[in-house]
Amino acid sequence: MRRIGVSKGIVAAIIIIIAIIIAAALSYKPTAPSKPTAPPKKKPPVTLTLPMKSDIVALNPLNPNTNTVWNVYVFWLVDPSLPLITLKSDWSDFTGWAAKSWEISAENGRTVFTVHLRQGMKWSDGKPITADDLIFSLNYVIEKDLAPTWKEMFDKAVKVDDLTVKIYLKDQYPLAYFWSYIPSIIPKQVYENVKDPVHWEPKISEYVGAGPYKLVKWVKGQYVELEKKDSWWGTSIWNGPLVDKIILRVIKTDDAILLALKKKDVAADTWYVPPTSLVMVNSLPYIKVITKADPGFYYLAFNLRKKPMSDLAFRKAIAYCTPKEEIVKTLLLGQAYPMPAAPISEFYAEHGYLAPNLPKYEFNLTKAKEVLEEAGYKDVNGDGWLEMPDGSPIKVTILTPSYDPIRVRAGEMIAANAKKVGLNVESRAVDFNTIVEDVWPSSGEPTFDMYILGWGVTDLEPFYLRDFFHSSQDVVVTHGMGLNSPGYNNSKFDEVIDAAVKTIDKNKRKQLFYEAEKYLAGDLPYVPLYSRAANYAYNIEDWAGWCAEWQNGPASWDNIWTFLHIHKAT
Amino acid sequence: MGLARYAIKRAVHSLALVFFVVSLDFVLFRCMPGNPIARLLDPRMKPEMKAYLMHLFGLDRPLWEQYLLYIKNLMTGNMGYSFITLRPVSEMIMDRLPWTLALMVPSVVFSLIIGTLIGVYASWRRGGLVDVTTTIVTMVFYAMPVFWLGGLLMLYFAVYLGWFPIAGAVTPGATYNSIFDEITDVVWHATLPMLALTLITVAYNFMLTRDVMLDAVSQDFILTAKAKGISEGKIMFKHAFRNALLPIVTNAVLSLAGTISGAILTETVFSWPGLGTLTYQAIEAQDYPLLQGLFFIYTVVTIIAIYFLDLTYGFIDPRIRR
Repeated sequence: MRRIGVSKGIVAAIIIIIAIIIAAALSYKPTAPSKPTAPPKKKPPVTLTLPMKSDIVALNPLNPNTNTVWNVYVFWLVDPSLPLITLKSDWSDFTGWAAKSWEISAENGRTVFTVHLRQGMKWSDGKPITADDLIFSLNYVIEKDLAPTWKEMFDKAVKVDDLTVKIYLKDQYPLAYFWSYIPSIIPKQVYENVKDPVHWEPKISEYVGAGPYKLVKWVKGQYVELEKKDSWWGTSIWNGPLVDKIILRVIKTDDAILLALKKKDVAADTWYVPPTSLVMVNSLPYIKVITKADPGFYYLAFNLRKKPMSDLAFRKAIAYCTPKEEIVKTLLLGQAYPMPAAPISEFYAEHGYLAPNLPKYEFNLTKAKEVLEEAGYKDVNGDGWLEMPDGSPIKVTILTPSYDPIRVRAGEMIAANAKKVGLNVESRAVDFNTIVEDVWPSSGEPTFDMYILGWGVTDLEPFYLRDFFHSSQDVVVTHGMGLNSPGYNNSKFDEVIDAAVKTIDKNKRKQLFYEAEKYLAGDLPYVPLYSRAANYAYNIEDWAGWCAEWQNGPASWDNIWTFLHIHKAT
Repeated sequence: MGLARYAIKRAVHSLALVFFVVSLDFVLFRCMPGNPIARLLDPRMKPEMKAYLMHLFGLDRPLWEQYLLYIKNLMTGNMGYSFITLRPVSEMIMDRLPWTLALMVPSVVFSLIIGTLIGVYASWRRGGLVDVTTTIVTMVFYAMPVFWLGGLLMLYFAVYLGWFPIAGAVTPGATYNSIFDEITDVVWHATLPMLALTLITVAYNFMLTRDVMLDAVSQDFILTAKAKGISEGKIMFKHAFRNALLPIVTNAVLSLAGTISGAILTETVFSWPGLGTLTYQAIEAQDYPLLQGLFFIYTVVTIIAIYFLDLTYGFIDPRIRR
C-alpha cells in the first residue's frame, strides 16, 4: 500500500505544479501598454487596438508583396510613400493629401495635371517634402519598372517652383481614371541610394515617413505599435490625430476577432462580419453594425475561343440555368446582391452606373430549353445529351476554386441545372493555381471551358470594364498578362470603352459606360453572379469619431478619416 | 555488432533517409496541381519582371540543375528566400521556433505524464469506475475539433471570466520590468492553447498506456508476483509498467520530436506565432521555398529523434543490434 501512496504522491505533485502555473498565470497583471513614465499628473496615453487577420509582410511600400490590406494600415498612418490626393469621407469627390490643390488642363489633346504641394510638409528625418521628391518619385517607379500602367500614361514632369509640378500625360484622361495610378511621393534622400527597391527593406529605426504616426515596434507575427508624432504638418489642417498610440495586433480567425470585440480588447472588426455571426454581434449593445455594398463581384466566365462557349445561345442557356437568387439566399444567407446581366456590382448600381433596361436572364429552365431548341441544339446520337447545331458533342467543365465552398457549390448548382436541360456540364473544384494556369497561360491559348472566380475592384467608376473586356487585353494577345480571359472581341465595345476612359465630362462618361454594359449584357462573355454585402462592426460606446460613411468600413485599412478623428467617447 | 558500429550504421541509414525525403519534397512540390510559381507570377506582371523573378528564384534553369542547387544550398544551410516576404527562409523559421517550443513542449510533457499515469491506473482497475470514466472523458476531448474546443475555452475563460487573453503570445505594447514578468506574460497567454492541446492529446497517451499495460498485467509473472504478496503499487510500476515501457518511450520521443511542427490548428485558433501558423500562411500563400524549408526542418528533427530512439533500443536490448 505504501507504493500506491507514492503514485498518489506523483499525481499530487503534478497537480500542484499545474496549479502553481495556472495560479501564476491568473495572478499575472500585464503592465499596461500605456504605462505612464512621465510626471504623475499627466494623462495616460490613449491607445486604440485593432485586429489584423495576418501580420504585415514588410515595410518597404515598393515591395509588390506589401500590397495587402494590413500593410496599407501602416502605409497610410506612417506614410513612407505619401499620396497626393485621396477620397473625401463619403467618396463623393477627391480631396488633397500631400497636394493642397490641383488643376487639370489640356494641351494638344493631352491632360496636364498641375499639382500644388502643401507648404511645411516634412519627412520624419526632418527633410522638407518638395517638388523634387515628387518628380523623383514619378520617374523612379518607371525607371525601376514598378508601375506599368503609369508608364503607359506618363509623359513627363516639369518643376514650376519648389511646391508646384506640372505632370504631362500621354493622352487625355479624367482624374477619376488616372488618380489611382499616380505614384505616391517617396523620400528621395532614401530611395536614390536604393538600386533594387523590390528587395530592399528599411530598418525600423531608419524608417522615414510623412504620416501622423511613427512605427515604434513590430513584433513579427504578433503586433505593430504606432505612436503619434510630437508634431505633424497635417495637424493644423485636419485637427488630428487624437489617439496617442495605435496597436494593430494579429488575431487570425473571425471567431477570435469577434470575441475580442465582445470583450472590448479591440475597438472594431477590421474584416467583414461573417453572416453566421451577425445575430451575436447585433446583440451587443455597445457594437454598431453597418452594411455596405462591396464594389467587387463574382462571376462565371466563358472561353469564347472554344465551342460551344463561342455560341451565344449556349451562353444564354447557361445564364438561364444560373439561380442567382437561390445562391444569394441559401449559400450567402442573404448577405449579397444578385448581379445584373452586366458586370456592375451593387456598389456601382447605387452610384448610378447600371444601365437601364438591360436584358434579364432570370433563372428559368424552360427558357433555357427554348433558347437551345431555337438555335438548333438536338440530341442527335440519342445519348441523352444535346449536341450543337453542327452535330458537335458537348462536354464542358466549370472550374471552381476549391478554397471557397460557396463558389464550389454555385458551380455545382449551375452544372446540375444545365444537365436538366440536356447540356453535359460538369463542375470541378480545383486548386486556385490550376485555374490561373488554365486561364492565364503565358503562351498559347487558354484551355478552360468555364470558370468561377471573383474580382476585387477599387475604381470609383467602372473603368475596370476596359481591363476585363477590351480586345487589346485578351490573354492570348498579351501572353497571359491581360485580364480579358474570355477572349471577348467586339470592336464596337472597344470603341465605346476607349471613349469612356478618355471622356472628361462625368455625365457623358456615364452614358458611354451604359452603352458598354449593353454590349456585355447582350454578348455575355461573363454571367455575373453576385456581389457581397459587407457588414462592419465597431464599438460606439468607448470610441467616437468613426468615419462610418467610408465605403470600405469605419475601421478599414484606407479610412484615414477615422484615424484622424477617432477619440475616446466621453 | 558493437554499439559504436551500430551507431555508425544507423547514422548512415538516417542520412540516406534525410536525402531521400528531401528529394521527395523537391519532386512533390513540382508535382502538385497548378504551377508552384503561378502565385508569384501575377497575370498582370510584365514579361521582363516575370523573367527577372524567374531568374531570381532560379526557376529559369533546368529541373536537374534546380535540384542540384537546392541540395547544395541545403548543405550550406541556405534554404532560399520566401516568395512573399523575400526574407531568408532560415531567418523566418528561427523567428518562430522558440514560440512553437514554448507552447508545444509543455503541452506534450503534460499530456504524456497525465495520459501515462491515468493509463496505468485505469488498466489496473480495468472495467471499474475510474477506467470507464477516464476512457469516456479523454475520448470526448479527443473527438473534439480543436477550433471548437479552443473557441469554447476562449469564450468562458477569456470573455466570460476574463482570466486569460484571447489571442497572441504577449500583451501588445506591454513593457516588462524583469525577465520574470515577460515569462509570466507568455505563460499567461499560453495557458489556454496549452490546455486545449493537452486535453485533445491526452487521450492518445492514455489509450496507448492502458493497452500496453493491459497486455503486461495479464502475464503470468504478474500473477506470480501477486501470489508472493507483493504490494499493488510495486507490481503496477516495478513489474508491469517496466515491461510496457518500450512503446511508451517510443511514443514520448516521437511526440517530443513532433513538437517542432507545431500545431497548425491550435496555433491558428489562438493566433500563436509559431511554426504551425507559419506553415498555414505558407500553404495559404503558396510560398513554396518556405514550405520546403519547413518540411526540411520537420524531416531532420524527426529522423534525428528516430536515430536516438534506435540507439536507446540497441542499448537497452542488445539483440536489436544484431
